[in-house]
Amino acid sequence: MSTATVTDPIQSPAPEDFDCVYREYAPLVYRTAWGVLGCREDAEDVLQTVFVKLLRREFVPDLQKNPKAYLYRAAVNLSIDLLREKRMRPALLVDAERIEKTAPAGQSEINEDLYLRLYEAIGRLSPSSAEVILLHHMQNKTTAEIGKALGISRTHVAVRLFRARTRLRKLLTQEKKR
Amino acid sequence: MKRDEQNIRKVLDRYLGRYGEPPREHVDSAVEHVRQRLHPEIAHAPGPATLDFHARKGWLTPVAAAAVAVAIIGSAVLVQNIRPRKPAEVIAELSDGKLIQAEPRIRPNERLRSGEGGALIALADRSRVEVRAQSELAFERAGDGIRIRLYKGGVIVTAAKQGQGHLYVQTRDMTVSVLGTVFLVNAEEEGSRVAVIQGEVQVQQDATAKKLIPGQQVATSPSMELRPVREEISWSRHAEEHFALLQQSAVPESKVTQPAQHLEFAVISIKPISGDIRSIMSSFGSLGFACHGTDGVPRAPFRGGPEIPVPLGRCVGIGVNLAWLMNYAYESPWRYGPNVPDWAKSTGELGQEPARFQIEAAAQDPSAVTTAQLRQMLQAMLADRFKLRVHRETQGVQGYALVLAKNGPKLKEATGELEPPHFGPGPGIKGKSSLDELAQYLPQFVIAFANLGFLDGPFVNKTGLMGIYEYEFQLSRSGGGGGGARGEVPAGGPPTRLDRAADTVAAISGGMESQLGIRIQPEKIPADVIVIDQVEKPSAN
Repeated sequence: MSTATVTDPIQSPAPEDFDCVYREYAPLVYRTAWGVLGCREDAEDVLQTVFVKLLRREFVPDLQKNPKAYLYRAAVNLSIDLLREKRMRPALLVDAERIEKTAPAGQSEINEDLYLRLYEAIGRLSPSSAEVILLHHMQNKTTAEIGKALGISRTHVAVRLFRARTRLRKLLTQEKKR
Repeated sequence: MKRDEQNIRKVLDRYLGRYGEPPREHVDSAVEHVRQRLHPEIAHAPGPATLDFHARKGWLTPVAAAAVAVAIIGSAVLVQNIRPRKPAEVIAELSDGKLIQAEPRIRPNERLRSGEGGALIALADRSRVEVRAQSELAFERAGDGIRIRLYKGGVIVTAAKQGQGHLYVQTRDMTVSVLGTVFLVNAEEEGSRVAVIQGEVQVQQDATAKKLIPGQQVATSPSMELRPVREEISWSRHAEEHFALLQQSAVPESKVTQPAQHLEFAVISIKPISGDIRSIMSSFGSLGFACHGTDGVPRAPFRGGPEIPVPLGRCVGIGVNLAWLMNYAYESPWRYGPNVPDWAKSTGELGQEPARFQIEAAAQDPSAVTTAQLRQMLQAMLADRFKLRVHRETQGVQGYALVLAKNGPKLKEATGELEPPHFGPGPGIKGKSSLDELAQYLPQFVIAFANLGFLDGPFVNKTGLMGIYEYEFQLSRSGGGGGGARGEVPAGGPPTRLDRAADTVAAISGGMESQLGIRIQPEKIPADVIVIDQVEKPSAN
């Protein structure tokens, strides 16, 4: 788990500014959480948590520099955290049913174990690597779009993607050998 | 190594794209739920970590909150100082009956309470807010205007023209937005109600938005009694002026409670037409369907023969079938459910001819109805006259993937300034961009070229080519291309929307394959789809 590092909170937004930020980015946060969790209730929890953090002045300077990237990252990290939590607790029949209901038709052959292992492995990537992987493969964003969202060049995104995939491959292979 | 890379890509694409996009209604409803849970706290947050968001079971216990906090920014954050929120205090009393200039007398977010005589508040943009006795409200700056937060009581707002922005009135369970109009809002224990005196307002409750016109009103709770608008405004000092405005609006008062459809045509004529498409063409000389709102005549889903004249504020169809009406009314992918009768289906199968109708429908006030409102009226007409019942669900819809052609790509790396994809000579497409950008442009092209209104699924780039390329290609002649609005009816009847989409995509794919070494491969992609559960043949009138 990450070590504690206290960051300097920046000034919190005025209510009207918060509302603007919420209106603009809440759908992105929800979609991102949905993409990882595939569950309405959990995605809504993540959405609420992300914006509660914002209200509580739990800011990092990144937020002002690039709110989209920051909120996206927050949604991904929270979703992965929730997925880990679910992984640790015994599987409930209700969850299984929910997964079945939310999974698109024709994809029932998905290996649930691999799915969780994959997210476990993504959770072990650096935040920047996990971010590009999810943006590209989960949300079908192009390298140019990712670069724009994160404020880095397209080449930089491509390199990050390649390294992240290589690392993921290794993590999954190691896991399998164990 | 290369194979490993391809494998991991495949696994990632398959597993991470597993859930696809959430249905739009889920997104809207979640965003609005959370916003409503957070909003009472936002305006009155007195300082850090003093808010109490005790919204849902099992949500944000101290331990979970700590875990969440670490995950979110990788740093320790304060979570232990959560304590119950103090009730917001009323910090200013409004003078009885006197006109108050909002600025500088009223500060943003101050909670105000009117006395026994009510109050009248003038905003800087010349909007006026008449406040009923013993009401509580606050003014806030919204992203694109001003928001009045009504906690209790009632207001009648005479909103000045807002330019680009809006004036909002928000209660605990709904938001009203306007550009320039006169309306009243009451916030009560059971819920809220809105009535319009002049102009038009949009009322948003959860994910549901609806427009109200003069004389109409809406309540957020079915248990709320709806009274005539003239009674609702009788407490106002300017009640007589408001009555006069209401009478001028020329729309009879109507009562609406959710979830009833409030936008309806004033006159509807539906007549069944027998015979196939050719006999209809020879009898009527034209075939098609279109609506004419104040913002223009929208593109017809199909037209054969001379253009059908459509007067302002009307929808007119000759030989129209259910599919055309669905396409126009809903503008999103839809499917036939298992109980849909054969007469309603346009399957394109030989011998299967859908029932066709001659339809003319007119809005109450033709000079003040938009195409969006005409669409809503069509939905209401379908529900009322065709007894249409639908539901939404996530289904695989027809999308398209750009993939490499057999002989590999024939693309040239771009130099110089980028150029987004656009319509080129031929007809065709040209540009200097990534293939991802080209894929994003293709739906617009297909919709415009094939005169579709909408396309079920998106295009995605699966060529693996990530560079910036200079390209120009013409559509192949083997594909069907546009069709639709060319004034001719093909021998086998008009092509369906899917036929025209498929033809155009085939023409693009043919052109791309020969000129760029890329082809388009149809693929199923999960999307929010409307499913018809029930429909009945309307009776003629």
